[in-house]
Amino acid sequence: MAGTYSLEVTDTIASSVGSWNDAVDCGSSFSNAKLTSDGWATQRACFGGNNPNNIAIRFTFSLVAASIRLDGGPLIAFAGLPNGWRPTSAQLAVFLKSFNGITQCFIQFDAATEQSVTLFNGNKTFTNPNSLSALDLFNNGCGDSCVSSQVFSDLTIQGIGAAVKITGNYTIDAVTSYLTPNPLTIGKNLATGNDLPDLLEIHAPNLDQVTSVNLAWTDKNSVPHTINIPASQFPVHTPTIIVIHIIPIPPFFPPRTTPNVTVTGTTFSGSVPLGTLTIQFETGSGIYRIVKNKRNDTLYLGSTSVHWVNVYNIIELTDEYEEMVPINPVLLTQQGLPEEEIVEDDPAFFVQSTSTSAPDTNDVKIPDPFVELGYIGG
Amino acid sequence: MQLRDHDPITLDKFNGLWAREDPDNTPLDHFQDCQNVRHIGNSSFGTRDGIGISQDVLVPLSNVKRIYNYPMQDGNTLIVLVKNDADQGEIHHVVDENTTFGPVLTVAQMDDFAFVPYAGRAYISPFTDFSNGELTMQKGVQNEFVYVYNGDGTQARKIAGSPLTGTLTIANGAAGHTDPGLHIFGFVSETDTGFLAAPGALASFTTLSTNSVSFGTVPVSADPHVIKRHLVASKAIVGFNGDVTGYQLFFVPNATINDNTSLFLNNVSFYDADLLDDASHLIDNFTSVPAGAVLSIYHNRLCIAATYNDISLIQVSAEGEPEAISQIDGLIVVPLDGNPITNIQELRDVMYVFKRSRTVAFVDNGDVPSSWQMVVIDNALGTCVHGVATVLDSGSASVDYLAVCSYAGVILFNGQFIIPELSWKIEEYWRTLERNDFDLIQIVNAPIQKEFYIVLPTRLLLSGNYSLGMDPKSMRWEPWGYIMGVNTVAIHNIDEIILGADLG
Repeated sequence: MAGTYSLEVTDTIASSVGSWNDAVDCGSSFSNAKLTSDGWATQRACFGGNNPNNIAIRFTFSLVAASIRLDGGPLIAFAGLPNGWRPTSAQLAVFLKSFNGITQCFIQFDAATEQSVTLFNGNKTFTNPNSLSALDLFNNGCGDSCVSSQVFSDLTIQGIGAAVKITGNYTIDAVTSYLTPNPLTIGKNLATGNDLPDLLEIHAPNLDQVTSVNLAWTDKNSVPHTINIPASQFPVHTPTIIVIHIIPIPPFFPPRTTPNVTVTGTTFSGSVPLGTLTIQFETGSGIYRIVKNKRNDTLYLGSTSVHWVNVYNIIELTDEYEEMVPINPVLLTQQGLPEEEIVEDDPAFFVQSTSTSAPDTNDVKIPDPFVELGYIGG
Repeated sequence: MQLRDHDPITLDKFNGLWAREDPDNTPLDHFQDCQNVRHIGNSSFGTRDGIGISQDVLVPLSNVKRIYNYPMQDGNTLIVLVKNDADQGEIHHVVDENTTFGPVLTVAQMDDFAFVPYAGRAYISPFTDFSNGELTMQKGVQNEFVYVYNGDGTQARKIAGSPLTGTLTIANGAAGHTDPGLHIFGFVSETDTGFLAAPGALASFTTLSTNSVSFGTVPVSADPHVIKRHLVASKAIVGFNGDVTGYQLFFVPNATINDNTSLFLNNVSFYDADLLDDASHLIDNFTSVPAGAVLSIYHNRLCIAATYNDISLIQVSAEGEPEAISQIDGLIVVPLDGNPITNIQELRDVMYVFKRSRTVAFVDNGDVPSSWQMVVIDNALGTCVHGVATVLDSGSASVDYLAVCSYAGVILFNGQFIIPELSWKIEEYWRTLERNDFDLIQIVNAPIQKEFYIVLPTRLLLSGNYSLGMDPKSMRWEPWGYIMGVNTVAIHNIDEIILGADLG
């Protein structure tokens, strides 16, 4: 699937370098930071002082407010983009208006991706030569930077005005991913009493910008819990693999609700299901009997509780929004609540189990028999 | 080797854990600390016995919360509470190692359940924890009821039931006999557990001396467990006031419909003198019985206590009719003190009622339960919901005593608490147990092994060996630990000790 998009500036996030003096007519017809009906955004910056040699205007795009149109449709927010949305091209259109003394300007997506322009009072376009992630597109924004080698007197006013718009083409990535091992068995090894390996590998493209993995669930008392695993704690982090520890911390097990695993911060927007994870843990729960003169304990091994876990992927917003958006609402809208383990809850249901197949069991040593005698005084 | 001036000390007896007062004062024949050892004979010890699995099926039950021995008419089985992944309580019936029925009952808030077997059936009452300030108490789940399970894998159902409703058609039948005059007629439904609902579909009809009576449009019950319907009638009424509910009703002999489908019962003849079996008391019975934290049997009566709304109320059924509980005279109130009733146990024909720190008694005087007089036994000692030892397959008393877990320790009770307590040697150990978690304690008495087995809130199993005598100084205590931890214990088939473990 592919199409066109256009990004629009909101008037709360534009910025400029320079000192704007309302008492001085900058000579521009531009008003300050305004979004016009046709998607153009305007901004102006002026200097009225000594030795100003750099004036810049930067536009960024809101990740929260509705700021992007797909195929001429209504404005939607970043989180509302379809799963796997990725820009394939980005073209910056700028209308520059210069004032006294400006001889050269650059229009840019970011400080390292710019193009020199000399045409003033007219339209100029610049196609980004690099491949962009959705996050880059929004966070980097666009702008212009103008310089002058001239020195003006105090009364000399210099300035620029700019109107910008970003348009381009997009595609929808069909992201393939998988989790391994799946199912993942964690907790105690009942045979040895040692902790089982708890490493989960997340395989997917474009993982290099993931900043954290979140697990959110509610315990049996309906108390919500969240574990945030920052990227600094990933044992492995490559563009295609993330490895995390799944830690069996009470009251995580057994959770009352299916835990949601989300990764935060990727190059694609929206939400991409990375797979379904089955978590098992050895508990040894079950019904036992004391056997006279038996020299070990035989425990159930197969009676592990199984929980299906949906793994979601959401984009990083900004630091202050990270904790507020653990699950992408669009994904929930499209897919509903995370799939849960099939639980037969029909009260009329009953099963007669007459299987003669033996359950999985494990013989373990009786743990640490010891006695500590009374004090033998001298 | 013998050092100068030091005489060798021979340790040839080991009498278990000693955990009271200063550890330095631990007698030489006791342990300051121990785990997973058991006694062998009178003086030796070794590693405790291991455990084996109890279910030989591909998918055994897991997350087990409570197990009771469920004696049926043809053998011993287990009734088990597990928590499913939706955190709902499910009751399963483990018939043997290869056969399990269930869930036969699912209740969302059921964290524990009270149980009593009666006539091969299982009476089940779901309960859970509630907070009252700093006190955690157990009482019946709100808006839940006592259930009965027939033991055959079918779903458990609420005990009791509603009366039949409908419009009865009455006409003179074939030649026969009645005492002529106006009678009130109705029908009583009977379930497969023998519960008789209140008379319903009441109607008046004037009979003739030379004719029998026939009934049409006999109502059927929506309860699939109804298997019979009985005709009830008043004696001939002189000066009928028009209120069909205000007269004494009797079962009419030989006037039963042995199904729940037929719509008629024809040609019934009877004389008023035949009306001997009174059915009037059925009108006062609960149609569904609120769940409580305590179930017990006393004098063939089902006793339910600690309901959600009345923590000090005991609901007592009619004798031999566990589902027939009068809302008027089947109720007993234990003095209100903010603590719920935790246990009811019969001993020597007396019904002892326990709270966590109080014990009272009632005696069946042959009259209705509300007339039974209360006797205070102890105003300081009581027990918890699973704190009276289960003995063998059925119950309670062994050798004319109860073993009771109280805040003071494990105490023998023979009508009064016998001090010092059996757990005197481990007084400090016992007092470290969290009082609000005493509902997690469960005790069984295995007279064959001569041992108590007590599940502690710490998920350890405390073994109390009394082969040298059941007195405080002869008891030998040892805690046993398991990798998975245990949270319930039952005794099964005379001397088989069953343990259950949840996911914790």
